[in-house]
Amino acid sequence: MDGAEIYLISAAGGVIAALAPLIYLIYYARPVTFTVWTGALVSFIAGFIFTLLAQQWPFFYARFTYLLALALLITSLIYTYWGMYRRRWTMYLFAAAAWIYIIILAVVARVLGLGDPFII
Amino acid sequence: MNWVALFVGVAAGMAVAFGRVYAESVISRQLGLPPQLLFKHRDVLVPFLVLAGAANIYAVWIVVAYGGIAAWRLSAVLGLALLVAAQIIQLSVALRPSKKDLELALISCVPYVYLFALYVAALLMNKYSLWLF
Repeated sequence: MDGAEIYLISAAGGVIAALAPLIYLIYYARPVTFTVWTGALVSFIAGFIFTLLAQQWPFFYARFTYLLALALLITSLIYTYWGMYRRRWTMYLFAAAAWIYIIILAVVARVLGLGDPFII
Repeated sequence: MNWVALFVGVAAGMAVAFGRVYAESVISRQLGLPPQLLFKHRDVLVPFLVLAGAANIYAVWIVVAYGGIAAWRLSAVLGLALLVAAQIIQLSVALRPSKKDLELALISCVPYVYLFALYVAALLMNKYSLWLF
């Protein structure tokens, strides 16, 4: 698998993660507000990063930080879907926890000069 | 197993299904009626559009990847044309909901029947290629 394929699969994963709640909400004729469209954007990003990380499974499956990142991304997706369902944007703040965790990992790896962000 | 074709196909099929539910909501808002009154078979059609979109893109990969198009066999070109026609019919089902939705969806299943018939015929004739003519 080369880079283009990995990013294509990640983009498809993001589109799937974003469209699934939108199809559900419009199918059951629930109101679609600005908060819901924002949630679709947030879940696209979460789905993209989750699929991108999940494709690195054979390299990192024994790392605690990697498994924690995957679990946090799934939790973040669930919080985003909840926020889209209830139309409360404060749920997206909980969802951002996974992003902050991954960013901190990347920054720490950069400072320590490591090859990948999953340090443990 | 091609994960790129599978994921891109599911994403494209979900985009088509999203177009379907969005068109339903627009029409039901114009007419002032709930969508489940206007469109009887939406519970069948929305999942069908997701699955059929995925099947179309995966089948195009099957036709192109196993040398059908490289040799320009008539059966492979016919399969590709049927798949394109099916995708167009499914797009019209998604974006212009009508009373003929189920019939059109059934007609758009012709390429899957055709490919399956080719597969069975190739098995029966002990041929290694799906493209018999």
